[in-house]
This record gives sequence, structure tokens and C-alpha cells, in this order.
Amino acid sequence: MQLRTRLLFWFVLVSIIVLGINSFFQLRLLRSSLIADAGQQLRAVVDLQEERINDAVARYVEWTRLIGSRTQLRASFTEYLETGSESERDRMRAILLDARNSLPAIRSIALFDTNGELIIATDPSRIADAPIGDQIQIQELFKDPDNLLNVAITGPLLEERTVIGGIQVVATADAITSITESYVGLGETGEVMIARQGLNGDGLILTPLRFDTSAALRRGIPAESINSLIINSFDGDSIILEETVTDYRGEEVFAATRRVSSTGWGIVAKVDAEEALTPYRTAVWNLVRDIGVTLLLSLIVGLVVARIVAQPILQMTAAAQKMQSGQYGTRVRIRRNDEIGQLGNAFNDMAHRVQTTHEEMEQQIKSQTEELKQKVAELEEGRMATLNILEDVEEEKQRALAEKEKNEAILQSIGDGVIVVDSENRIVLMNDVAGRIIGVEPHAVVGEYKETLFRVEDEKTGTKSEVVQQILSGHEPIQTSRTMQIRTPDGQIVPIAETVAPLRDGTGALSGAVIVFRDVRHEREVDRAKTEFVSLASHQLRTPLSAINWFAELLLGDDQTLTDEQREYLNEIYDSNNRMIALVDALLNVSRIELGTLAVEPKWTDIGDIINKAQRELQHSIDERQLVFESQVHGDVRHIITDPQLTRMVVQNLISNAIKYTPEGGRVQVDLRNIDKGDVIENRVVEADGIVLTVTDTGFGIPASQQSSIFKKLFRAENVLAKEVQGTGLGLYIVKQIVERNNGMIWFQSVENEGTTFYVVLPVEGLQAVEGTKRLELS
Amino acid sequence: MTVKKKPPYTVLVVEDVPGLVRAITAHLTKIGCTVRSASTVDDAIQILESNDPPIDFVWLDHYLPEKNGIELLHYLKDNKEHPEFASIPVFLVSNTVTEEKTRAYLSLGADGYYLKAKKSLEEISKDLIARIEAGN
Repeated sequence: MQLRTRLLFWFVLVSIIVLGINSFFQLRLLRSSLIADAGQQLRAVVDLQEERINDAVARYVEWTRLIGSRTQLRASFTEYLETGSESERDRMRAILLDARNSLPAIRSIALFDTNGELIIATDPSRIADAPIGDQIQIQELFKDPDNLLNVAITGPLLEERTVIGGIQVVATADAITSITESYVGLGETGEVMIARQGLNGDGLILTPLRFDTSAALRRGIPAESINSLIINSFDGDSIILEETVTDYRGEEVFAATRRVSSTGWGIVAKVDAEEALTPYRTAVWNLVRDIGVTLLLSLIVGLVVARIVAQPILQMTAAAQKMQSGQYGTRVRIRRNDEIGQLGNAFNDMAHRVQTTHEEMEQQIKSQTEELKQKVAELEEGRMATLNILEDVEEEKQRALAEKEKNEAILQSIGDGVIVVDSENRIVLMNDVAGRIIGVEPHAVVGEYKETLFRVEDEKTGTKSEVVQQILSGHEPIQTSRTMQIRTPDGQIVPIAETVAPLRDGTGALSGAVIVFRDVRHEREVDRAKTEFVSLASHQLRTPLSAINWFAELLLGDDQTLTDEQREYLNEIYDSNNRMIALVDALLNVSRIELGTLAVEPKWTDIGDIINKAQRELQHSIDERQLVFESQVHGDVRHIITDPQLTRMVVQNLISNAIKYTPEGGRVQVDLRNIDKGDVIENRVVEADGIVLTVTDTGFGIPASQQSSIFKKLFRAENVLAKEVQGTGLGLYIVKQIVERNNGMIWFQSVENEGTTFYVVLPVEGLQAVEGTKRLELS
Repeated sequence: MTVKKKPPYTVLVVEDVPGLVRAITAHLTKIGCTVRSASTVDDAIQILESNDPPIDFVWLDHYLPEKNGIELLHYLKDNKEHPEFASIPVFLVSNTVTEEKTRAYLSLGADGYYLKAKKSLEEISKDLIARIEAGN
């Protein structure tokens, strides 16, 4: 709110409050005095009218007493009662008529005997039905046939204080109705009401009302309407009602009531509240007008005052706003000697100071800004340089990150479990597959010692694997056969095949180990299925062969019925069948080797011993072909780690081939000696300490054109086929497979029709154990 | 072997290939044995339990319909109702010779193991009778 508005607002508000309070009290005073005046006036009215009613009643009583007290009338009445004389009756009539005619208000006079029987009446039609008491009083108000209100006054006829009869006077009630019909002093709405009380307490209006002229003797007021003015009026002395009540018309009225002492009637004077309070309403309107005028005046005065006070302030406000927006030259023009004038001067002083200070400051800021700009430029240069460096670093970081992500992706996509440990055997990295096999969350176990997390142990013995320790202490990569198992943190046992390799940093220093392993449970199941198949196949193939063998045997056993020719043919069948059996065996061996189900059980083996045994087994053939067989073992030949059964296969195959393919009288030489790492034999460098076995014959040799195929499966050289030497074409293939399993070498030198030399080099430790269910079928 | 047995021997041949059964029976009969044959383990058990005639030794194949040879061996060697069966010599004559199987049979108490296709009937019968008699 602006200053001017606020000043005005307060000025008017204060005026309204003062005027309001003043008016409120004045009006209240006025109202109560008006009410009191009305009350007093009404009371005066009821008091006055009560007196008038008493007077009227007294007049009626007086008339009756005067008529009844006429001596002539009483004498005639007594006489008439005693004699029944008509003349006495006429006399009474004349007196009564005279009395009636002398007073225009009297309408009828009647005399009764003590039993209440009518004796005489001036106007019998006007006699009222009213009792006669022991004194003269108004007994009844009623309407005559002309609908005029009459009163009946009755009383005793006395003779010497003795009741001789009764008198009834009927007169017009004008004396009473004139009271209520006069509205003097009652204004426009005021009136007087007269009522009498019935035996049951109900009220009955006796005279016409101002607003209901037919109410006389008709309008009743039930006794229980206790708020009724009429019912109140029967109570006693004059009462002023201090509050308004509702009258018969439903209007609010002020009233005064009292009891009429002579008759016991009630009298009510009342006036409408609206009329009584007319001066009050006028006063209210006057006040409203006065307040309006006062407000208008105070508005004008307020405006003037506000202008005087607010104008210079508004001027200064505008000036201050201008200064705020930078117009420091702004000044106010107030030419006054009062406080506002002083304020204006002070403002101008201040404005002047602000202006000069501002100018000085601007100068200073200008020079300082120059300095600052220079410094900012220097800083910006530095910042750019730093940013360039950071950019380079970020690029490098992104490259490294990408490389790391790539490596991790490679590791994660490997189907095998991969674990990298540091030189303390703590886990550096584990891929998801490894986590799945071991049953841990790969990221959660980084930094933990591998040994505490899970255990790798030998499947059969349960001894803990030392492979990783061996690698960490400098061993070359180790591939374990499938005889290891992992014991996971939750107690599961998973058979695995693992390869552990050293991890070297850029300088070649050992920094940890990489363990690659896989769950071989499924492989084992497949192996079992394959083994079962081969086993069943061998059974199925051999069963018919066994039957042929055994029936041929039975036939050959019968030496009485067979002719020589038949026996020869039977022998052919028998031999062919045995060759068939050998072929099946060889095929089974090949399939086992190729399936990997061949069991390999390395142990320290003496090859010399194997040669001797093979020689013994083949001695029969040697003798048959009249061959020279020489076996030479040079010095103390070392034992090697190999599978003796497999090695026997090699030795036996080579020697039996030499025997088979050497013509009668030829020579077969077997030679065994040690050989050391680095030795050269036949232009081949030996990589590890071991033995070398040579089998030399003077046989058919292998044609040069076919030498490259000699180790192929089912290959047989043309020259031996031509000579009908039996063979499966699988022997050398199996031999080569076994030698290679031993990490050994096999080769030959051969000249057709001169002979062949086979060389076999086997290292001391070349054979890895392989778990398998199959052994070779031995011939 | 603690069982005393003398020829002529009664042999129970358990073999499911009819041709082989005939060859074996012919041969064993020729060398003076009485032969009863069964093509399944259950048939073999029936013959053994009838005890008519009492069996001196069993010639047993491995692959048989339903139950295999090892189950018959179990029945013989670990039989509470007929503890006497444990002393009947059992010779496996089969075409499937694996180390594992050989070991299994021998550890359960078989007395010999022969590869059908590699041995003549004469070789087998001679060897096993020699073993029985050596046991006597």
C-alpha cells in the first residue's frame, strides 16, 4: 500500500470508529428513553381510563339505587305483592316509565319478587337474563337486538333494610364504550382494551377494538395464553411492560395494563412499537446522514494531509529510484522549512556524496579490472596447457581400459574356467565359468588366497594338488590328466582337467600363474557311453567269430570222417577266422586310441625285459622262417616311465613285422641303448634323456614311393600284398600313436629288397597317465 | 579252492547264444562232462536251486539278457540261503575283456577268465579242469 493510501485509510478508519461508538451510545440512550416515555404515557392512560370506568360504573349503580329507593315505588310494590292490586301496578309502571324517560341511556327497568319472578317491566323485551345479588352492581354486558352494547345493573329492593324484591336496569353501555373509542394521546395505532374474566379464567373482550370493531363480547382470549396482555391485565395494579409483546394483530406493541377495581375487569393501553419508536428511527437516519457527511469531510481532510506529508516523500522515493538505476546527479526540490524540508536537504547531501564516491570507485574498478583481465588471460593459458595434458592422459586411460575390457571379454568368452593368481597364490582374476564351477561370485573373491577358497586334489588319493605351487616355484607349464577334482566351498566335488602355466611380466619375471580348467563330468559321461558302445560292439563282432572258431575246432577234432582236402579247407576257415579276430582287435585298439578311452598307466618300465618277452612269444615264427634273430642291449639301459602294455605292443609289432616281411634265412636285429638330451641320431636332435630302440631286418623293404604312407591307417605296401603276407594295415598306425603318446619319435630307413630299420626314441618321462576303461587287445 | 570234486563233472553253461551253447555242450560232453545250460541268470538260478543234478562248476558269459554274469556271481558267492553255492567254481568265458571287468569278476571270487574268440574250446576246458583238479 502506498504511503498516501495508508494515511488516508487510517484517517477515515479513525473517524468511522469515533463516530460509530458515539452514535451507538447515543442511539441506545435515545431508544431506552423513548421506551420509558411510552411506558409512562401508557400507564397514565390506563390509570386515567380505569378511573373513568369506575365513574361510569358508579353512575349506573347510582341510577339504579335512586330508582329503587323511590318511596312511592316501594310502597306500591309491597302493596301489589300483598293485594295484587292492578292500580298499584299501574302506579309502579308510571313511576318506572318516568324514571326511564328521564334518563336517555336507560332502556328498561324491571322489578322482581324475592323468588326472582318478574313483577313489572317497562320494556319486557329488553329484560336481561342476569342474577340479582345482595348489592347493586353491573351484572351483565350484552348486545341488544339492534346490536348495541348494553349493560344490565341489578340489585335488591330494600324496605327498612329488608329485601322485598329485586330491580334490574338495562342501559346503553355508551359510558364504557366511549372510553375505548377515544384515542386521545394514543397516536395512530394506540388503543385501550377492556376485558372481563370468565369463571374458567378465559378473557372476553368487552368493547369494540380499534382494528376489530366487532370484537365486543366475541373475541375470547384463552386463559393459558399467559403472554396475552388481557390475561395480564386481570392481575392487579398498573404494569408497564418493558419489552414489546405481540398483540391480536401480530404487531409488536408497547403496553401497560391494570385491573379495574370496581368490576374486576382488565384494562390494557397499548401502542405499536413502530409508532412509539418513530423518533428513534428518525434519529438513526439523521446519524447515518451525519456519518456520511463526516466521512466525506475526513476523506477530503485526509487527502490534503496525505498530500502534504506524502508528496515530498514520493518525490524523494522517485529520486532514490533514479539514483539506484545509476543517475547519481538526481536531486529533489523541496522548499520547506519543516522536517520534510530538512529531510530533502539531507537527501541531496547524501546524493552528492554518493555521486562523488561512485565516480572515485569507478575509476578504481576500471584500473583493477585491467589487472584482473591480464591475470585471467594468464590463467586461461595455464588451463589450456593442463587440459591438453589431461586429454592425453584420458586418451591413454581409454586405450588401457579398452585393452583391459578386450582381455576380460576374451577371458569371459573362454569356455573353460580361468583363474589367475599372483606369486602369493592370491586370486587376481577369475572368469565366470570358473566362478560357476567353483560356485563363487568371481568379482567377490579377488584378493583371496586360492587355497582358502577351494581345494584341488587327486581324485583317487585325495591328496592336495601341488601343481600351482610347482609353477610358482619356477616349473614349466603342467597339464594334469583328468584325475583331479575340485572341492568347492560348499562341499561339492567336481572332477576337472587343468593346465597350469606360469605368468610372466614384461621383464620375464614370474608374477603368478594361470590356471585353465574344465568340468569333465560331462566328458566322463560321454566317455562311458563310448566305452560301453565299443565294448558291446566287440562282443557282438566276436560272438559269431567265436562260434566259427569253436565249430571248426570241433570238426577238426573229428579225425575219422574228414578227408585231407576237407581238413585243409577247414584249416583255411579256422586261420581266416583267427585273422578276422585279429583284425577286430586291431580295429578296437584304433578306435580306443582315437576315442581317447584307452587307459594309460605309466610306471617305471624295463624295455629290455619287454624285448625278451616278445622274442619268446615270437620264437615259433622265427624258427619257422629260419631267421637269424639278434638282440643287443647296450650297457645298463635306463628304465623309463611308460605303460608297459602299450610299449609291449610297439616292440612286438615292430619285431613281428620284421619277421613277417623277411624272407627265409634272413636276419632280424634288435638294438637298445640309452640316449641323452642333445644327442643326434640319424640327423635328429634328441630333446630329452631316454632310450632308443632299433629293429633292423633284411626283408622286402618299403618301396620309396610308398614310404610316406606307411604309418597311415589300413595302408599296406604293394610289394607285401603281392607276396600274400597277412596283415591288417593297422599295426604301424597303432605303434606310431603309442610312441607319440610317449612324447617319443619313430621313423625308418628302408631300401626295397634290401631291408628296413625302424628307430624308436622314448624319453624317460614322456607319458601322461590317462584315465580310461579300455586296455589294448593284445595279440 | 576247498571243494572236492571228481569227474565226471556236471557243468552249468550260462550262455545266451544258441550256437555257442551247442558248440560248448558238444565239446564238454565229448570230454565226459554232463552239461546243463541256461540262457539267462534266472534260468541258471533255477537249475542251481533245484540241485538236480548238483553243479560242479559254472561256465559263465558276461553279456546276458536282463541280468548279467556279475549278478549270477553275486548270487553264488554271497547267498545266505545257500551258502554252499559259494564253493562252486565259476569261470567267465566272454568276449569283452576289460581290465576293469576282469578285476571285478576276480575280486568277486571267479576262478578264471577266458576270452572266447582267442581261445579254443580245448584250451579253455583243459585249463579250467586243470584248475579244478588242482583245487582238489
